[in-house]
Order: sequence, then structure tokens, then C-alpha cells
Amino acid sequence: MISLRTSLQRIPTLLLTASAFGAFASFGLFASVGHADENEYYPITRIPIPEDVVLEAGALAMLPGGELAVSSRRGDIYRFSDPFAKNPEEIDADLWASGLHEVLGLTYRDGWLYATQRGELTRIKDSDDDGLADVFEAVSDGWGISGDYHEYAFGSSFDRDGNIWVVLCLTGSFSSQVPFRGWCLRVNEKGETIPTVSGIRSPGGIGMNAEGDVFYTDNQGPWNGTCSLKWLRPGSFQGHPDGNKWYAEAPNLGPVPKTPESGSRIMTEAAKIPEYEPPCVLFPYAKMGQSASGIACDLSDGKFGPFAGQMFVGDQTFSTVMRVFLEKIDGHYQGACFPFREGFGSGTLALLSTEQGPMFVGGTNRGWGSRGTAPFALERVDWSGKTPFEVHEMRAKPDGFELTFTKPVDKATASDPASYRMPTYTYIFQASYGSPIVDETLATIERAVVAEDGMSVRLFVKGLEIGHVHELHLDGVRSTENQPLLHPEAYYTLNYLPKE
Amino acid sequence: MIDFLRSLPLARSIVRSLSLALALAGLALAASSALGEGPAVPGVERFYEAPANLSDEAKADGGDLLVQELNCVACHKAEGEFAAGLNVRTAPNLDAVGARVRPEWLREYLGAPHATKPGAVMPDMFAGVDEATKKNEVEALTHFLASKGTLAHGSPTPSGIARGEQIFHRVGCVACHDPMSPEKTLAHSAPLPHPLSAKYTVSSLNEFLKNPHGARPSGRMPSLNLNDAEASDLASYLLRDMKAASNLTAEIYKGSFSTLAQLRAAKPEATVPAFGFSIDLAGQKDAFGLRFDGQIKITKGGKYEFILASDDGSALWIDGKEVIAIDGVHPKSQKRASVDLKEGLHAITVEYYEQAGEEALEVRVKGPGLTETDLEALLYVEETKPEPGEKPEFVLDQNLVARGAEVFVKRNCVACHSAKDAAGKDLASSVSAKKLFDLSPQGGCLALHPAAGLPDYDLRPAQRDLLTAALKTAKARAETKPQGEEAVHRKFVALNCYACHQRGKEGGVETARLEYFMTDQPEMGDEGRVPPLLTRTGDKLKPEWLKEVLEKGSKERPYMMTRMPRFGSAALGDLAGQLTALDQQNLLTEPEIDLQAGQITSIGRHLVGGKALSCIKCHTFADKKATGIQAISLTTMHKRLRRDWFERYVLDPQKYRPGTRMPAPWPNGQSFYPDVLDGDTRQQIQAVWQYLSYGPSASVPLGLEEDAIELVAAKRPVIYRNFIEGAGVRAIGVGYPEHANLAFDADSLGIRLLWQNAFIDASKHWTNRGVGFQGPLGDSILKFETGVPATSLEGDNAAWPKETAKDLGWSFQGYRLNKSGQPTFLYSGPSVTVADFPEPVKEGQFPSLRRTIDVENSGQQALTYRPLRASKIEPLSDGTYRIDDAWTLAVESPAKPTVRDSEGQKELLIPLASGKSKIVLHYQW
Repeated sequence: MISLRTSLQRIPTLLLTASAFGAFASFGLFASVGHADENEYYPITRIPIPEDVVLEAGALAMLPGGELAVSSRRGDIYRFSDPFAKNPEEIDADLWASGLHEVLGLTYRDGWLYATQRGELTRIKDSDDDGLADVFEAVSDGWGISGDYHEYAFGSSFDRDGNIWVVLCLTGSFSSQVPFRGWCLRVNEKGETIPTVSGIRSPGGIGMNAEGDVFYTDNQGPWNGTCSLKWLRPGSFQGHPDGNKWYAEAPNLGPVPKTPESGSRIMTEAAKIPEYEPPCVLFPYAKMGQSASGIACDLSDGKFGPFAGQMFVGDQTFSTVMRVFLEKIDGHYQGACFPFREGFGSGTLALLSTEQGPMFVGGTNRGWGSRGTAPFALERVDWSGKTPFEVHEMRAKPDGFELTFTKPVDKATASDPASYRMPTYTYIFQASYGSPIVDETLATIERAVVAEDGMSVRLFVKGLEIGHVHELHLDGVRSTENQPLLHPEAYYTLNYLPKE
Repeated sequence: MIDFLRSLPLARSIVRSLSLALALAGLALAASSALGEGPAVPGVERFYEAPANLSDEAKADGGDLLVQELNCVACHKAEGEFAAGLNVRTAPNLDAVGARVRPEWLREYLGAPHATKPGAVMPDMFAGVDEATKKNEVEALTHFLASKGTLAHGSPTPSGIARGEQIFHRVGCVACHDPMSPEKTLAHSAPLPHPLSAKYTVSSLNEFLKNPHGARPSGRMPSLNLNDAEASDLASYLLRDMKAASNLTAEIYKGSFSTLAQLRAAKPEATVPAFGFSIDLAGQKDAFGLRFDGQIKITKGGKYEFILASDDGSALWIDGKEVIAIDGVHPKSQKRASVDLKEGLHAITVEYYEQAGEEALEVRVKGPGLTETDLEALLYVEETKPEPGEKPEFVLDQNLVARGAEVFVKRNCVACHSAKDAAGKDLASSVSAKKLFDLSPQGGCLALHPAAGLPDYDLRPAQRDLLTAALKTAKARAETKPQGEEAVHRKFVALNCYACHQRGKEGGVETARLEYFMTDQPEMGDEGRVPPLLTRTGDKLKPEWLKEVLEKGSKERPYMMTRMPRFGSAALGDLAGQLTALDQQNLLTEPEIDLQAGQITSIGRHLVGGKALSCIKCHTFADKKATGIQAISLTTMHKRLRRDWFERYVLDPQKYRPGTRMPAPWPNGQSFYPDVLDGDTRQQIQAVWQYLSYGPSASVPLGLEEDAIELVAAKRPVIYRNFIEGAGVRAIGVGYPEHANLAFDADSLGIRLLWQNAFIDASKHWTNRGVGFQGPLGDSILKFETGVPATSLEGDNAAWPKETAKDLGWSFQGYRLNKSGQPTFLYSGPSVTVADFPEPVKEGQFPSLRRTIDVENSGQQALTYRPLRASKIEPLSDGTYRIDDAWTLAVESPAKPTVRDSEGQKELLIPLASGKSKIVLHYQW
């Protein structure tokens, strides 16, 4: 094994990087951190956390009156007043509730704050208005826990029908030892708990798109060659078969889906198993991240810049937020992910987009390391008002892709196929842990046709591969202002080929 | 793929070099001769030969000890009290001597015991016998003894030699034997054959070291309780002169291999003998491969787990099957695999290659009765026929075996060694020697050159003097035996306890050996390395503990490198009882303390902890490190020590352990803590003792957990929902400012734990990933069973349902906090709702807990509420119950509770009519 000796020579550079990180971490509270170019468009603001409070932010929710509720892995809930204040020093935090069990879901409705704890969905209120919660009502405890630390429960906000969705990690992230580990359940307004989706492994977050469909992120491991964003289509199976033993307790869902064949490919198995919903977007491991986490959707109608209606997904290890564009083909969501913002202070876990525009990001790196060095952090991403030059949308076409941009492209560079490059690959769908990149090909960009207004480009591609990530590089494309793209890459997961 | 036969010719040449080493060892034997050195009895030498001006009485005592150690009474019978006072050192058990000792050694040793092993206790039975007769008879005896078992072989391993050297010089071997690296000759050492490889094989020495009492039941060679790996390492070290032998063949490959397939396709550059799986053989650090072939010997059939670790690739084959493969180029990686192996020899092959960078290869094994050890330890080398011209190999001759049995009787070996002939018949002595009391104090065996046929002990003049002194007065002492301290002293001399321990003014580690008594806590000084003083040890230690330590050995002081060895009961007689009778003092009575047992224990825990006496600064608590030096664990105190001694000791440690670093916790009997038990020193000591009585199950003393995140209820209760040991996965812990704490289980719907003082340490769940269950941090812990809170019983005898509350239709509804932050737990079952409000009540120093339970039974049927199931529920007056002799529960209820039997336990039941009822339970503990 060579690496140890040879890498010694690289240590000085590594140290340099580490100390650079340290310098970022010790910047003043007003200073923005991370990618300098990203800062120009989406600066990050650290929200001060009171001294001696350990706020490993697990979930975020807006309260009426514009306060931000933040729950922690230690089981506290804090209220942050005036969270949009330009000067973060003006933001105050007050403890509202404590003693809960690792809260990874928060949402408010009708006077109650709903908190998803490990073992229970609980609604909480302050009945005497003294600033401290005093009523804790169990809404649902319709799932098992065996005492394994990995048995996390992530809770959604209310869906259009008034349900809260709870997505449950496997025991030890490998097996389903007690009921409904590796499932997603819905809790309705009557407190009934309805088994909804099977096949889950190790979620990192749950959230909805603009249409109100519910998604979660799953993490690299058995039956997950890489991390991904998955659609929790009711009745679907997400690929990890260990939880399927609980179908007997889920009569509403019909028969047990066939067990996928280990060592196969995602779309090969999707063709055989009708319940199996393939991942909408694969996040290529070590390229886009290593631990996909929270999900948010920009519903601010432009107050957060040009990406209204798109989704954002965190990565805990990389301390980043990615951007996701989805489209629906043959009744299935699929789409592309793009880098969006790096340089968060800790391991990105919880995301919350607000009507007001800004996005809140909560972080922790306890137990799982992250590039952001702080043990925990609460941050706000604002839109500076400047529009970055980015790929806006990436849609599959029968013979290629259609790209739209946030700013008009330079026709000369954008119509030159040499400005693009598109390797493709996929992952093994298997019972053992993760997967290397396999089945690599290089697709050919035969033609790039720029629209009259310069806002879109039609790529004609030879060698599209079903089930593959199509990794598009646009290094040669320039805007009409001769700017390169802020992030000249996109990763489209082509599960289904559109007919037109 | 595996061609074991290929390597056989080479194995033979390895064996040849091994035989050569043995032949050389034989030469060394012949060269050393030390007539007149005398049998070595270290204790007698130190206490009766070395001192000048001993009284005749003392000399007679020393003589008695020699009579005992040389087993004179095997021939010269003695009776009465004198004989009863001897703790005779019996001769080695020869039942399996053929499996233990090389025949070549037997031949040399029988012919010239004192020359072959200077210091041998066995007499020469052929002194004065003509050479031809002697040669014939010795040969016959050798065959007779060699027929008793079959020698197993093995070879030392390089890593074993290195570890064995440490073991030999640290665990206590050097208390009795001479150090070897570097070699030194010290006074009063027990002799060893030189070299040991002339007598033992690696396998036979290994077996002997693990169980010396099997061969030598009298315990003069105690067992150091070596595990398999330690015994094997020590045998490797002691027989390191056999190292010239190789135990494997190695093929050396050159090339940049990155897979096993590439290695297997390559041709070897050279084939060489190898000693262990040494990757240095290749002579280069990068771009090479090795393939080792050999055999392992399995002595006990069963499942063996092999552990292979390498950087880069490697594979292990057993009997031609690939068992483990670690392919590719990678940092050091490890794999394990289990294989069922029958007793006998098995072919093994290890393949290995290193491309570049770091390199490593480890092959380990564990199996039935075998703790994890290097596979090298099982490598087998056959000792085959020597080449012409070398020493002839020993071949057992059955005629000589039969003849040897006759010689064994004729030369009266049988007087000391019991033995059977080939037909399995016990051999008996035909010699009738004079009785001990009738012996002349000179001449006979004591003569400078005993007559032919008499045993020649090769005695030193000083030893003769002692024996003469003893024999002069033996008859007069026929009806007396050593009593009291003298009896203990003689045992200490015979067993050489004094080599390590001092008792009174006698004994203790000799200065020259002090450097072999080591510690990993040098700041503890000699207390950390020298075994404890045994003055008044029978006062200090519990009799049962004393007996256990003497018979089985012990290792209670992790910082001390030597071990207390196992002497076995045969050697000891009633030494523990004698020490107890001599030393034990009972001067104190236990003070009464008018508190609940759990409360006293919690005071003891407080005193031991970091906010009071801070015993934890220096004493460990099982595997939890002390904050300063790492003195003997607090968890061992109660099993070892007597209470009476403990109290006297802690009042004045210097008196009982002069020079100890232990400070006086109650100087001049005064307490530093006037608020604890009213400052009463005796009560405080009693509380500490009671806390220590829980041994390893005592709650960890406060202040010992380094990274504790203690949750403290300052003004309002603190709530902690998590995995709480004893309260389930949906536990709700509540710590109250009154220092009462509870854990409610939201699954089984009841309080499962009540405790006092510190609430909980959240560090287990709040650092890293938060693995596992956390128990209470405080003490005085009461545990309650799970079970549905209430049910309708079909008749008085119906059993309480065993189903879970959830299965019986109950569910947790949540909790409400009042203005003070105290929770009321809400839960419900079929037609019943419960509001359960626990509230601590502070009365004096300790809190109690009042629990108000409001039940609304909206059904028609009467219900029964069960507050408690326990081993013992004893009704007192006024609705009060004494529970398990440890605490009290006061009950207020609409109808009178009943107590009934429940499968060996008791249940307390409260009937509940329809409508609303209120129950109040008051826990005082």
C-alpha cells in the first residue's frame, strides 16, 4: 500500500487547507464564508447561538409571527426571533422546550408545533403563554425502536391532505429489527398511522416539491450505490428489501414486492418490480457529496433568485447545499442536480426555505464528520439580488437534452459541441455496501442549437444510456457577458427517455 | 495449486539442523559438572544455611525442612505429630514423563543427576555402582520412563521469543529462578536444566508451564496462571537456543504484484528454509512475493478461527483449500475465517506479496482452549532420523522397558515416585530402611560418599549440619509439631513465599532481585511493584479470599507486573486457616445508622467520590481509570477485605502499611465532613464500606467519568427522553431539584426506575453517535417491573396479564407540565384514562416521592390497579408496606389493597370501581 508514504509529501498543502478552513471558522459573524464567487450571489450568514447552548440543528420550522423554531439532536427546541434581521447580532434565541428525543422533524399548525422524535410524533404547545411549552401530546407512536442509535425518524411538514410523513431508518442502517424500520409512514389528522412506502435504508431528510409530492434522501450503502433523492410515491418500494417483512402489518399496500436481484442495475430491476420507484436523482459519490441530507423547495416566487420552484438538498459530509431540477416522465420524477453553495460551517442537515426568500441551514457533525469544522451551526443563505450565470433547467429529450440558462448565452461558444462533454455511468444495484462507478461511456454531443433568445440550448446527443447519470460539463459555454458558468456541471439521472 | 509434498525434502533438512542443535546441547551438558553443590532448597538456604550462629533448635527446624523437602520419610518412615507436621515435597509424577521429557535427558540425568542439573533434589541412586551395571540399568530405566507418553515437538517462534523474554522477567519467574537476559547468578535461586532444550520440547514445556502441578503436585513450582499464548511464548523463550531450526519453507518471488493471480503465475527466484512467517526473507521492501509452506499440529480437534492481516495481498490455505484471501493493493487489512480441524497435522500455505510502501503480514489463530496467538506457535517440525554419524535416534525397546520396571523397583525409585509396570500393576518398594527416629545423625545418606546403593544427595556441609541437628532431637520431638507462627514460617520457607513477601521481620524481596519487580505506575514507588506485606494478613483478608488467592493465585493489582501464583491445595494444607487463626482481630462492632439501606449506600458513594474523600483520585473503579495514580480498584475491596480491619486501617493507614502513600482519610479519627452523618467518623466509614460492598455492581463514584455531561435540575425538573437502561427505548427521565429522579417508560406506561442524587450523564448519547442505553447517574436505585397498569381480573386467582400494555390496547398520551415544570403523565387503556403525577417531597436529607394517580374508569367493569410486583411485600400499619426489606411504600386508595402470590413473587393490588378514583403512592427509599 503506497498511500501513506507518498501522501506524506502532500501534508504541507493539506495543513494549509486546514488552516484556511480554520480562518474561515474564526471570521466575524458578519463575514460570509466559503466559495468566493458563490458569496457574490448567495452569501451565508452565521446566526449566533447563545454561549453554552449546543444546538445541533435537527429540524427547522417557521412559526406565526415570523419566528424560527430550531430543534436539536439533544432534544431542545429554541425560538429565534427576527431571524431575517440583516444584522444577525439582533437575532435572539430562547429555549422553548427540552427533554425530547432527537427531534428531526418540526412543523407548525393551528397553535401546535409538531415534533418528530425518535419514538413518537408529538405536538407541543405553550398553553399558559409563559414562553415555555407545557403540553406534550403523543400523536403517533406507530413504529418500533430497538434502542439502536441509527434508528432515526425524520418528519415532514403537513402535506396537502393534512398528513405528516415520517421516514424511518433501518436498525443499524442495515436491517429491520422492529416494525416499520425502513419504511415511510403517514400520520393523518386523526392520529392514524398509515404504512406508505417500503424499501428505505438510511434517510437524511424529507421534504416536498412545489406540487406537494414528498421526497426523501437516502444514503450510499446496501441497495444504494450512491446517495440519491427519492420520491415517496405512496405504495412504492424504494429498493432495500429488509423491511419488506412488515408488509403483513400493512394490508393497505397489497402483496410484498419481489426482492431485487443483487448485482443488477436499477432500471433492470425497475422493469421487473412494478412497485420499485427508481431514485429521481443520483448524487454521484465523492463528486456531489457523500451524505445527502435535508430537502427544501423554493416557494418564494423569486425572492430567492432565479430558481423558484426548484428543490435544494444538503450534503452533510461536504457541508454543501445542492440544487435539483425535476421533471416528470412516464409518471416518474427524474432530473438533474447542480452544485449550489459550499462552505457551510458544520455538516449540513436541516434545510428550510422561507416565503420571505432566505434559506435556513442547520448543521451538526457529531458522529459523522464534515468539511465544515464547527460542531454545530445555524446559518442563513440570502440572495444578494445578483443573478448568477447558471444552467437553470435540464430536461431530457428523446435525442438529447434541453438546457435553459439564467442569463443569455454567447451563441458562438454555446453552439459549439466542443464546449460540452458528457461522460455517463451508473452504479451496481446490490446488497453489499455502496458501489463503484460502472458501465462508463462517453456520450457524443453531436449538435448544440441555441434558441433565438439565447436563454436555452438544445443538445443533440448520441449515446444516451437509460439508467445512467449523464454528467454534463459545459466548460466552454460563456454568457453574452463572456462569463463562464458559476457551476459548469450538471448530473442528470436518465431513468426514462421521454417520447417527445 | 498446493503441492505440499514438494516441500518435504526441505523439511527433512530443517529437522537435521534441529537434531544437530540438540547434539550440541548434549555436549554442553557433559561439560558442566558441579559436584558438591547440594540439592537446591532456596528457602532453607536463605533462612537456615546463610545466617551464622543459628541455635541448635533453629538448626533442627532447618533440618526438619530438609527432611521434608528431600522426602527422607519416603524411606525412613516417621509417625506421630512429627510426621504430621511435615508438608512433604513429593517427587514428580512420572505417569506421563515420556510426553514431557526427552529420553536423552533422562539417560544423562539418571546417570548423573547432580552433574546434569546442578541443584537437583533427586539423589544419585547409582553412586558407587560399577559403570557397566550402571550403564545397563540407566538404559533400561530410560526406556521404561520414555515409554510413558509420547513427546510432541514444536519450535520456538521469533515473536514468541521476544514476548517470552518479557514474561519471564516480569511475571515473577525471577523471584525464584536466575534472570536470563542478561544472565546473572543470584543467591537462593531454584535451579533450571541448562539448556532447558536438552530436557523439554517446545510443546512439552508449554504444557508443563500451563499446569506445573500435574507433574509436580507439591506446588514448589507454582502456576503463574499463564494463558495459552503466554505459556507458548515463554516456552519459545526458554528454548530459544533451538532457534537454528526452521519450520517452514519459503519461495521468494520478485516482481510488482497487485493480485494473487499474478503471484501465482510467477516463478520463484529461490526456495529457502524459513523460521516463522518472516517477510524480511525477500531482502527487499517493495515488489516481492513470498509463499510459505509447512504443517501445523492440532492437538485438540474443533473449530479454529484464523486471522490473516496484510499490506498488500495475502492468502491462507489449509489442507489445499483457500480459506482466506485478501487480494489487491491496500493498507493493512484483516480477514477472519473459521475451519473445522481434526486432531493431527494439517498442511498450510501462506501467500503474500507487497507492491510498494508499507508492508505487513500477520497470521494468527484461536481455537478450542487456545486464546488468540501467532499461528507460528502451531507450526510443526518432525524430528526424523539422524544422518549416519550423528547421535543415534532414540528407539524404544520393549525388552528394555520391562527391564526398566525391574530396575525402578531395584534401585528404589519407587519409594518416591509411584509407577506402574507395563501390565498396569502398581510397583512397590522392597527396601526396608531404618525408621527416621532410629537413624544415626551421621553416616548413611549423610556420609560424604554414601555406600553403593544408597541415595547420594550430594549434600553440602551446611545441609548435613542441619540434618544432623534435626535427627539428634527427632525422636524426642516425635509427639510435637510446629505450631502457630512457626508452622506458617515453615510453609513460607518451603513454598518460598518469602521470595516476594515479607511477614513480620522475615523475608521479602532480596535486593538483587528487586529490579525484576516492575510496575507501570512508577510514581507508586515500591507499593506499586513489590507484592504486599503479609504481616497480619489474616486480619486484613477475608478467610475465603485468602484461601482463594493462595490456591488459585490472583492478579488484583494491574499496575504490578508480578502475579500471585497458584499453589494448589495440596501444597498449602490449611495455610489460610492458620493465618486467620494467628492474625485475625475482632475489635469493632458495626455502628447503627438510622437510614434506609439505599440512603447509606449513597452517602458512601458520595464520600468515595470527587466532592468528598476523593478515593477515586488514586483508586481505579474496575476499568475506569483514577484521575491520579492507578491504585487497586475500589470494586475489589469488599471481596478481599474484612470490615473490622478496614475500619482500623482507614483510621491509620501507616500503622498497617508502613510507608504507604495512602493518606489518612479521617486523620486522628476526625471527619472533614461535619454535614455527612453528623460528622460521625464511624458511621461515615460504615457508609463507605456499605457502598463498597456492592463491588463491581456499585454505581460509579461521582467525579470519575471524565467527559460526563451531567444533567442537573437546578430550579425546574430536567426531562431526558432517550434510551435509558432499565426504562426502555421510549424512556422519559425526570430529574427533580429535590434530588429524586425517575424514569417513566412510555411503552410499558409506568415508572420503571426511581433513584436519588445525581440525575443522569448524557454524554453517552450526546457525544459521537450516541450508542447504547444509559443508566442513572445517582444511586439508591429502585427498579420496577413492566406490566399493564390496570386490568380487569377474572377472579382473585387470575394471573396478571403478561402481554404488553400496547398489545392490551393501552397507549401513551403525552404529558403536561405544571408551573414548576413537573410532568403529569397521561395514558389510557380500553375505557380507562390515567393521569399520573409524581412529586418529590423533601424531608430532611433525603427526598421521597408522592405519586398521585387519577384513574377514570368509564367502563362498567371493576378494574384492578397493580402498583408493584416485588420479591417481598410486607404489610406494616396504616397502609404502609415494607418492600424487599429495603424501602417502604405508603398507599392511599379508595379500597384496601391486597397482597397476593405471583409465581414466586408478591403483587400489590388495588381494586378500582367504575368512575373516578384517586390512588396515592408514597415511596420512601
